[in-house]
Amino acid sequence: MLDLNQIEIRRICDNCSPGKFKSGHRNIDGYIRNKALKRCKRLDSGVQVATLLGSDEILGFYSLKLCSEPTKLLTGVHKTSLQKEQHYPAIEIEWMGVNRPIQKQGLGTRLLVHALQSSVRAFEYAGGYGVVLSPESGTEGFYEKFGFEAYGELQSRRMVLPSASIVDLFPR
Amino acid sequence: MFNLFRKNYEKPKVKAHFNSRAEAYAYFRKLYKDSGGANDRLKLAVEEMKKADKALSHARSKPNRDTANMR
Repeated sequence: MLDLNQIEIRRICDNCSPGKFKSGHRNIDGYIRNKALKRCKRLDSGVQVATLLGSDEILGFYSLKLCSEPTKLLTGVHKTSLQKEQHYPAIEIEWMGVNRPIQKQGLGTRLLVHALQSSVRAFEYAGGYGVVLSPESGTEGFYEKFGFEAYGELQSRRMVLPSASIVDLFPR
Repeated sequence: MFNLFRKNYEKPKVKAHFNSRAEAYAYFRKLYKDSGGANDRLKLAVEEMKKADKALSHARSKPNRDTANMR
């Protein structure tokens, strides 16, 4: 059983080892093995990894990137508030994964909350409308639980959580 | 007269107009503040993370007994 009080979330570094990391999605596993460190060093993405205190083995990770999203696919109140804009600035949760043996023990939630906290910090310096992501198949429900709303075509499904709804959760 | 009025009557469309992105965001912030902000599930997860962070910083500050004995 995973002890979440012993989990440390920090920026990926040379010492961090993906070991036998397997999330069940080939793309996610490939990213953490081959691309995450390089992209983080180049500042293309910000990659944070979850490890046990005093260990360098990666148990889970997420990657954030600034992006510009088209407003034309938005619906409801999102569309109303951004109707004059062609695009809106946002932070994208590019990748997120948890090692398969410790899935469904709360690490994904911890990583998501940490990602939202990092996003709010970034919004303090450079404003943005919200946090967006493209959910892997079968993971939509997980994000919906925390308030993300789906929009767009089924094949290019995106989800958004407006920054205004989370900014009060992380006081400065 | 009444019929004429009814015929030409247009149901008002509720639309929010903003002159800038800042105005739009301010509207959104107010909207979410009025509705209570983030959902309860997320609020709970944030509370749990804060507690875990406290426990982690406590564990970090505690000296390792094994190494202390070696000294």
